[in-house]
Amino acid sequence: MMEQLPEGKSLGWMQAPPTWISSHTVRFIGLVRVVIQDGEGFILIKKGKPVVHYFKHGTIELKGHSALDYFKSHPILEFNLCKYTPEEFAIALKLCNVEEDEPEITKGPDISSTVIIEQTPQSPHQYAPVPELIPEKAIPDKVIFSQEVNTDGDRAIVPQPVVCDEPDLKIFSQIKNLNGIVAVLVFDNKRNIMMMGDADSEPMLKIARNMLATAKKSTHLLNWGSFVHLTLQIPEGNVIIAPYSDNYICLLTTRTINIGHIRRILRDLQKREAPQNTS
Amino acid sequence: MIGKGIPVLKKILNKILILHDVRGVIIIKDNGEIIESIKSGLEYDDNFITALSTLMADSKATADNFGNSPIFMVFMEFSDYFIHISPLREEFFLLIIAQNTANIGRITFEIKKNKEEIVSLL
Repeated sequence: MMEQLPEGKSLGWMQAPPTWISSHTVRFIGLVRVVIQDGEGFILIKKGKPVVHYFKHGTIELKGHSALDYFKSHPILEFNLCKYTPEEFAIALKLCNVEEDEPEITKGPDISSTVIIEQTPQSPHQYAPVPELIPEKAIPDKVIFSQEVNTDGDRAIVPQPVVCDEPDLKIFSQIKNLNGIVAVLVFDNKRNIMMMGDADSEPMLKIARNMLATAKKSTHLLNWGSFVHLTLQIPEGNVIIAPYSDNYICLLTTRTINIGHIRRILRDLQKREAPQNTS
Repeated sequence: MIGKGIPVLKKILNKILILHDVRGVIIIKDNGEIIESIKSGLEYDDNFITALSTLMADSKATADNFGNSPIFMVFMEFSDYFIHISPLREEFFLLIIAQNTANIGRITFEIKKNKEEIVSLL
């Protein structure tokens, strides 16, 4: 099924928790292509509402809740946001046998962990990772995520996302595509929210947090106004952190980007952010 | 005008201080110790010294995450001022404080132009 789906317009690969996808796609219509180990899947989304969840690993297919639970069993997903035109979205719906405005999450058979075990391939060597896909005991534990998708009768109610974020995605994607930008990480005080680019999110997050702590200490001690950005240049390139909306952004760049360029990027970013803050 | 009694190092630092909207030029060690400084309209109080020490120590610690990488530059910007730190030699760094309206290109040019002479006096 995946091969037949329209490609859409890629906004870039990123890493983020599964909950980020639902809370940051309120204006997004398209496909979220998810890659986990050797398996591939997708979430078809219409303005923040997941319409189809699907994952395939070898001969194992997960659909609906099973695929959703599997995605949610990973703290961080690697995925590509692919924006669809209305025509592409209609084709995708048709391929998934979903009628418009009918959330797939309550439709069709839910493949339970038992079924998956029954479908385990004959050769354990051929599909060694499969038992890890959804451990038998994992399904009941997934209750911790139940507050995110409440059901009312047969229809799924997806809570309204907190942040209207497709413009943000476009901006981050544009920044990531600038010459010299290696990676973009958006984080808050608790966890990383999103990452695009060629870097490991955990070490990058640790460095970003350390730099943020330095910035906060210095801002407190020096009475020179609010913190705008902190840039550290080393032979490998630049590490930059700056506030963005209620979060922080961390950029890794090559050394081809100079401080004037960095300031311009951040100024543009803050200008785009300003209308959201004032509304 | 700089008088005859002003040390040579201060004279060189003054070439940077006189640039538009530059408010302070300091030679600092990586532990935050100030070796030489000149200023214009700024107070180098205890909070300032603590902030510099923190910034130097933390920047070095962050650079160490990349395998003991040397620091080429630290740039920290606030809504009113920015700090520009660049290495001179070994543990010595040149720190510039300027208003955001200052011309960074001009400042970095002047740093490059005078770096060798400053280093020779350390």
